[in-house]
Amino acid sequence: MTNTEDIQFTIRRAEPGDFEAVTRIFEGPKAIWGTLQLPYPSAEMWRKRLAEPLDGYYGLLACAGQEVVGELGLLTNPNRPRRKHAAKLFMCVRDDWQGKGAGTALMQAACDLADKWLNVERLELEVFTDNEPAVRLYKRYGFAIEGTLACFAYRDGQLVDVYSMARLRGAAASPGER
Amino acid sequence: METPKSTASISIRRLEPADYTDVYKIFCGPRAVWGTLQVPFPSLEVWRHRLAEPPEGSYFLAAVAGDEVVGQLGLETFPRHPRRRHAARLGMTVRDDWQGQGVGTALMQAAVDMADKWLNVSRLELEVYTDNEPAVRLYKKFGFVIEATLVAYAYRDGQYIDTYAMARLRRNT
Repeated sequence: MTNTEDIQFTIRRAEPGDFEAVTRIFEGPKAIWGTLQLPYPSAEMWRKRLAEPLDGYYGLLACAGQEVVGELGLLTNPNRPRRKHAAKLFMCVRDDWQGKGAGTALMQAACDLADKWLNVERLELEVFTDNEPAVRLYKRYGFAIEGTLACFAYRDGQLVDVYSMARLRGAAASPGER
Repeated sequence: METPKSTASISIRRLEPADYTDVYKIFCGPRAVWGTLQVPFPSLEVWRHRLAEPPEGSYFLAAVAGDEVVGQLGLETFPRHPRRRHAARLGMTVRDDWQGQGVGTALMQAAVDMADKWLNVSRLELEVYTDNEPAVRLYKKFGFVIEATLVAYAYRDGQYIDTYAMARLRRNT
């Protein structure tokens, strides 16, 4: 039994050279289950994605020692001036590292980045309604369920629902000032 | 009840690159800016560019009255998300002086037919400001339901404003 207290994760920016490690994350059936990815990930697709990230995208990695065990993306809206205060969050932890604190480490880093440096007042994400560990993690970081989007995506032979969740701060969190 | 400017005279066709001046005019209206994510003082050049190079998998429709485009609707599919192939996103705007005259209904009918009968979209989704009552009414008329309220989703005229996430599902397919 692993003592989760002992694991120290380092968070760093995802670099183009990390594409093989990221591809490996998406070789896991749980990783595919919890995201919008497909089985048989393409290393070439991940190479391109990491080499040419979207405008306003901040990719973070959780590492245990030298090993990349989780990834998180924060996508801001540089081309949508009226949504400059908002950002979308995506994350995934490698199957064999789930439940060991990598998600928490990533989420803590992402919230710090959003709150203290990017001044994001609305962080949003989508999560499959039956992905309980993920929903629990997001709630712990102050995300609230804003609604259920029915039949949002196809997964393992059927259409499944997602929760739309958001975490508000600053003026976005105080109705009086809105 | 307003006197309709004769809905019968509205026709729907594909929006073409050459329509950019008309689309620019639509977004010169404060009401159009209010109801969308656009900002005041639209750029003709931005609209020229946008219409010339629409995103992959998007279908833009124009509502035409006389020889003018007075409303536009975009249907965006997700070609890069194979697991969302059944879904599409909808956005629309009617020119300020043509609101409440059936333009939105004509556009929506065409979009729904296109989604249902040709693109086989079983989940149509959109976002709308919670206080845009005529739009919410139109969407409900076409079977959209409110799925979520996204708090402080966008900034509008000096303050944050909430939006509804709405969707229309075709269950029997």
